[in-house]
Amino acid sequence: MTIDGGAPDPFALERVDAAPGPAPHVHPDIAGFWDSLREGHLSLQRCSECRTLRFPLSTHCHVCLSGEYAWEPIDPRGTVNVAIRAHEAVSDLPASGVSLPEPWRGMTPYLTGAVDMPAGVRLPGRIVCTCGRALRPGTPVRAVLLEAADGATTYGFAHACP
Amino acid sequence: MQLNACVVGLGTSDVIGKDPGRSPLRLQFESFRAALRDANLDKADVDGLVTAWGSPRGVDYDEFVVAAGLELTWVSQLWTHGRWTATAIQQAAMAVTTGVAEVVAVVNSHVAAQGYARKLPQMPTSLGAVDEALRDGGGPYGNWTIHGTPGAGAGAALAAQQYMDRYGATAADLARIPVTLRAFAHDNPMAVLRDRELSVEQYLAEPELMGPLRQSDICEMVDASTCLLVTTAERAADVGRPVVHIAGMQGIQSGRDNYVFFSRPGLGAGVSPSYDYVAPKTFPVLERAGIARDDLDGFYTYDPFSPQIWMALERWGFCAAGEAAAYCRDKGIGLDSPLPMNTSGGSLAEGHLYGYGHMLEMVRQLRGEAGPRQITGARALQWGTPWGDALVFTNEQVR
Repeated sequence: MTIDGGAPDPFALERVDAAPGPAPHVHPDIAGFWDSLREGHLSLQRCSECRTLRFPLSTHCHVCLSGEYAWEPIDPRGTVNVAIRAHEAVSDLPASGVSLPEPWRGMTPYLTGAVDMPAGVRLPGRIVCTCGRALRPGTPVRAVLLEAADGATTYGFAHACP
Repeated sequence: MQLNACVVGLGTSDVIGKDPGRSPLRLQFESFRAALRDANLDKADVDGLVTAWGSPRGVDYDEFVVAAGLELTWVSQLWTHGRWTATAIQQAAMAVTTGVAEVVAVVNSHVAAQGYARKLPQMPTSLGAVDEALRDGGGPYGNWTIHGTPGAGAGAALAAQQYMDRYGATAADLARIPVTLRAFAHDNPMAVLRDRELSVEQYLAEPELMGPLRQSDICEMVDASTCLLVTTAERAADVGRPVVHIAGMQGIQSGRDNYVFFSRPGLGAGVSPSYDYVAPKTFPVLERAGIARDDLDGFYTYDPFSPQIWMALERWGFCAAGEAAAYCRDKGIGLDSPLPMNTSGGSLAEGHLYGYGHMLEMVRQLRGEAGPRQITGARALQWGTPWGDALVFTNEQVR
């Protein structure tokens, strides 16, 4: 993907193949996030009044309560803050405090966690990694596009496994 | 305003079990009647009620008022969740202190998804069916269903992993918690896991399920009911039972720094900031009770997952940030430790009573009625959660 007809777009997300997770529920007040993903960017809201970049998605700014904002693509490179493995054994459990609903139940083992982004926010997301190194905090990962149920697109993270 | 509130009656359902085959209403009658007997009170003495509904099924306040033929002047209802347990008791304490009611039943009944809830009609729009982790901002445990962390256990696993990464705590450290609570349960005839001893070796042989959490780190869901009767000191003096004062309280501390229920502040759970947490030297709950942290004889916290013990010890300053795993390993949380915790066996081993089981246990301890689990000379006990709400209960020896 390029912008201005030539220079590569450093914020463009790659699409990575992985088993699809559940589809996001999109409603008008936060649709801009999902529209942006479909266009290949991970975008967050920047407050038009106090300029705070915010997460989670919200109609108003948590600092100044302004309802004016613009969607802004962010740098997809980040580092793992925390990652856990949903182990295969969890899928054998009957309903309990940790049992997983489908489709996650059928997808174990997988990695998921939270990633610190240079934009100053920590984002939750599944982490695609086959070597297991992404379980270590500080591991570089990048935001990617992942297929979700019903042909939808969501985001996650990917580690450049050796 | 001084609190003027005491617990004068305790009751549980006749059984606490994984599937005892009793409806939530039947269980609630059992605990309510037991509490009235315990306090030498009649149902006509009760003029206030706080309950919680769920999870997934319980008894609504109006359902119980009709079924039990009560005449009340004040009621409140939350949903069944450990976060609201201290709040429910605080509401009762405030109600009797202000005089909007004189005797308040804090009564809660819950049947598990694999228990009696299977036999009840589906109520798909009820709160119990809600998955908070589908909110745009994620769930209250820093968990997100669309990102593969649905449910409380995933949130607890993330916070536990953050703790273990940051401080180097190990699986063997974590094992100390379920092993100790299982030993307490052995001495609690009501505990669901009373006959299931656990060693560190057995724990480590269990497979990991979600992050570092194993089966023994996860609470036992049960069908049960609990009831506490709360009234003023004047009325309590007439009852003739040992009086347990609700001496201090502190509400849920809630903010962007403080919204993930299974993490203490500073770990960076969910979108909260990451920093070096330092507990204050004292807390409003202790000041209100007129005692110091060192005066406490025991500490109780909500423990649906083992790591909550670490989180609570640090949040409330019983050890410094990062030291709880070593504290539990070296000093322990058993009866012979400096600060016994969750002596009933807690949610992990007594059964998941949403924290109400801990409240009953604190009252038993302060009455000297805890049998082989008795903390010798217990005078002041604290409930305190990783998310900052608290109660202090004291007996007459403190006053």
